[in-house]
Amino acid sequence: MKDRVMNTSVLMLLFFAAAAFGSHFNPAGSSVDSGEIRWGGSTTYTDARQWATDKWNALGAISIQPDTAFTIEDLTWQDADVCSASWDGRWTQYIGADTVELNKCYLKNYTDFKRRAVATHELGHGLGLGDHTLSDYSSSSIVMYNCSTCSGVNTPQTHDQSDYNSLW
Amino acid sequence: MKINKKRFLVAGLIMILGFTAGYAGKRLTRKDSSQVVNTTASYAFDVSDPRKLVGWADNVFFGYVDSSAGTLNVGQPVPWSLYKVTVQENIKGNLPETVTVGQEGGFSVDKNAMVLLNDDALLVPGKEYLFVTKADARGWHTLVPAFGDLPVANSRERRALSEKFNNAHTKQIPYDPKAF
Repeated sequence: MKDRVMNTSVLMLLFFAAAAFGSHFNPAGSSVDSGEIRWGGSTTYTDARQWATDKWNALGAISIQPDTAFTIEDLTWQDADVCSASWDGRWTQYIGADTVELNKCYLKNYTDFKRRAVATHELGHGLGLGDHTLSDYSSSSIVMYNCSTCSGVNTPQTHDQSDYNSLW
Repeated sequence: MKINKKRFLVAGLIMILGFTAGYAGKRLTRKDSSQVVNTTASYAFDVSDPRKLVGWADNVFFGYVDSSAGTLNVGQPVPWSLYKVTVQENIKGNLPETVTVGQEGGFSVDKNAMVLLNDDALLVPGKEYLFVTKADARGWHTLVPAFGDLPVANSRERRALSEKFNNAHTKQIPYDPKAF
């Protein structure tokens, strides 16, 4: 009887340990699913979207590809037109596909460089990276600065890459 | 404790089931386990600089939130929460005594969850705030999340905010989409 109780306890411990390991693998708050982001939707700013995709794909750990008929969409790109809002790009978590919105009210007046900065920043959120402020990072020269067009960069910088690598 | 071959196989099977359960749990709960949906927005200007914050805004003012004026779920990813606000003091612009302030965030019928933009807590009726807003064509004044709805707890805080934003107003830097 004692052996049976011990065996059952060991087996339960193994089950919960295995379950915990499996569920701990993927951090919450990103659009990444099974090592990839499959994106869909449409935007006026396809050049910016492609730029962002290429720059993050170059880091290698997560594959960012268009959605197909045989894949599940993880992230939807779309345009917004909200001139009273103070944001030019926005990532929103969703039960289905997460969304990236590009605010046309701002982007229509931006240079290509700045449009690419916004798209790269928002896709960074899709990869699970958070906003940075001057109080938690001493320089604004990162693409994940909370004003993406204030940073003067439109590609992942050393600190962005470090965050990406520690996450993935 | 002696574990024979049969028990070893059973243990292996249970571990495989455990991994499967954990993985399935991850897939199923990754996005639907929380009742608060996070949304993060990139500001179009440097909100950490009050001169730029005021330069972008149409209005900067102290106001009391009188009541909620409803939530709009208009098919967008983030709902709008509207509030009736009594204007106490204009710092920039000249608003009438009562206005409607719009805040992005609120309860989303679509998502069946609370949506917060940049962790900006929803306004609380009965409280006073320093508002930084831009006029919306739909008739309300949209606040800047987290940086344009600063709660005023007491007269000392009010004086400090008044001084800070009056100074920023005199040195305001107008918004320029071409500037970095």
